[in-house]
Amino acid sequence: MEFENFQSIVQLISVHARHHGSRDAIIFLERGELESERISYRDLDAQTDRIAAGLLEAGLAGKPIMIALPAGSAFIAAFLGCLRVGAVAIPAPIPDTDRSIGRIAAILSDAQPAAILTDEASALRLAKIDAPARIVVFDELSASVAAGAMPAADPGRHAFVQYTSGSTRAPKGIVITHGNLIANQEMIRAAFEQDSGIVCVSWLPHFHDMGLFGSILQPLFNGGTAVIMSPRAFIQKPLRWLRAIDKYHGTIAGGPSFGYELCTRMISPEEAPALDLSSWRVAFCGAEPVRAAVLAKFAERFRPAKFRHTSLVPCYGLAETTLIASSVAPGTGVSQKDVVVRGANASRRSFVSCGWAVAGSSIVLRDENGGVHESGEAIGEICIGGPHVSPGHWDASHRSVSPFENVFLNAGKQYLPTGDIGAFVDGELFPIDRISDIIILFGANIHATDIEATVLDDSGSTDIRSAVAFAVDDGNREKLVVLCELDRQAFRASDQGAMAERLRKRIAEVHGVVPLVGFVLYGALPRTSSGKIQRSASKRMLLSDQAPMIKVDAETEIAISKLRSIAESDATHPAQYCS
Amino acid sequence: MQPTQHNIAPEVLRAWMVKYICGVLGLDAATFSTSDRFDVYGLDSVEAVIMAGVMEEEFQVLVDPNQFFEYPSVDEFVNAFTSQASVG
Repeated sequence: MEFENFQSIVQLISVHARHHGSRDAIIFLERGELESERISYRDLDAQTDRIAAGLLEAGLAGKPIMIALPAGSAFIAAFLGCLRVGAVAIPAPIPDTDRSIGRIAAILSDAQPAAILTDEASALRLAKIDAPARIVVFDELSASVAAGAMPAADPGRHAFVQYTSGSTRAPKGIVITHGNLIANQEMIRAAFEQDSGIVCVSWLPHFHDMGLFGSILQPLFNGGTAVIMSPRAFIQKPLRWLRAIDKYHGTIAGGPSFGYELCTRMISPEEAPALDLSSWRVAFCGAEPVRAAVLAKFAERFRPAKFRHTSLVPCYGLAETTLIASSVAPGTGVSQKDVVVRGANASRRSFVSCGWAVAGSSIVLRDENGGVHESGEAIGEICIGGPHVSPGHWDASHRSVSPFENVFLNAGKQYLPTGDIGAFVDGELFPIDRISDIIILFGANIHATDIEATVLDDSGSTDIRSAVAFAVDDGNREKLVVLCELDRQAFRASDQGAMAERLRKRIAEVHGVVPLVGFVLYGALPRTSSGKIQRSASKRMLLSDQAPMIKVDAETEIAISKLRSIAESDATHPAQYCS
Repeated sequence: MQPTQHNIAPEVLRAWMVKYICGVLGLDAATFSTSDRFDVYGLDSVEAVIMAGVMEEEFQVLVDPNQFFEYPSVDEFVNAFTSQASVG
């Protein structure tokens, strides 16, 4: 099939429905075990049509619409229905915890959708937010006439807005066009060598880019099957994910390193051999730093289940490139090289290859002097150009796009800087670190500014003059660290234990992660000439032996010294070089 | 999800949760307060959902992980979980 001829994924799914309507499109596993939904292409197309007709009749065609529905076929039909009538879909979590309700409220205020498409249970909760948008219950959406002919999709038309990477205080939506979506689906298909035999088994959040585009739309794009369970079902028992891969002969499944780590931690060597994972050809890993040690342990644990380590496919991407930006070729496995990272604390560390820019796109590295490197050996900010790059942020007041300001031209092509640092070794991309201040924990993005604001806004911590938050890699996952500056008097006070306790509690309540908290004297944190605290320099300071006096409790002391010894052993790794 | 029939005594479940949480987080069970919210002593949302899975194995019951978000302390959870048995 010639995918290039389709300008919208909705058209493509209709074609699949006509050609092989009875094939399974979506299988949903309740609790990750019980098959509660099995939806064919014909059913999915009909459901999409019903939603599209309902949206038309409700006067919502062409308008921005938030979708807050649980994982399952309703969400997917709602998403496709929006695309079909030219509405701009805004996927959101369901309002089932204080945190997700806060998240929805922040997205609502930035996106200003005309309506929220949701279910009955969520509608009651959303009513309490006092949203300035019309609440439309999915099951009540109906129309007296069919949606009729599909409007010709203009590839430049806005398909949806992704709120996956924005700060929670001031979230920013990334606009993705129909053209972006189709281009990136084709890139994923080519990079992962997929075809209509694809069976993708996913536990990833269905409203996030990797869950929605990588694990649901990609199988639908190819005419294959998406097997879905909720993240909580997976985390509760990671064995459910692997059992589903076994049962449905999954060909592709993946997620952040965290998911692989959890499988190794929770599934015993005695349980592993009962599984048959031989159908799993692409085990992609991305979204947070790819951890070679975690993947090696996973491959070792599940070797008796016929899992091949060469199925592991490290990749790199971000919301601004719809999803994928680079990947190794399937069958290669995880490869590492040592890279000398220059700067204040030059160190040599081992990094995982994320392969090459996906077909039809290009990646360049821009060094600190502004030099642009297209290949060879280099270090710099990863910048991406291609038809999958979003045109900019959502501008709710004009219901339009506000272009990225930092886009630049190189050799006649536009590139978007990502805020991530990477190295080229023989032109192969090795992501190194983020300069953007996003902390990725358990696969979720948390902005450093949000954590710092929580600390500074806390009414019980008025002695804190300033604070800095950053993540430190402990070898398995990232650990959140918060350093607070105190005035001399407060710093001298014998015990900050109660304050640390209070902050840990507060941050856990608001952000869902428990940090290490330390205190330093006011002025001890590294600052720019304009007085702004530097997060990456603060992190280097904590990990170096030149750190100033940091007051912490005994447990935190142990945790920090552990992080230091890991950072040190990484830096003295034997080596191949690259500058 | 429908609550499942079970006859786990509240004190048995409470003791199991305290032992589990203290084991995972390296806390002293003697000074552990069952009325504190999970996040006070560092049981983040991912760890709470993992506990829901281990609990299913241990007691051979279905545990809805969402209950840990609705009842975010040992006391609240034990109370909710053991009182649902009579209605379930």
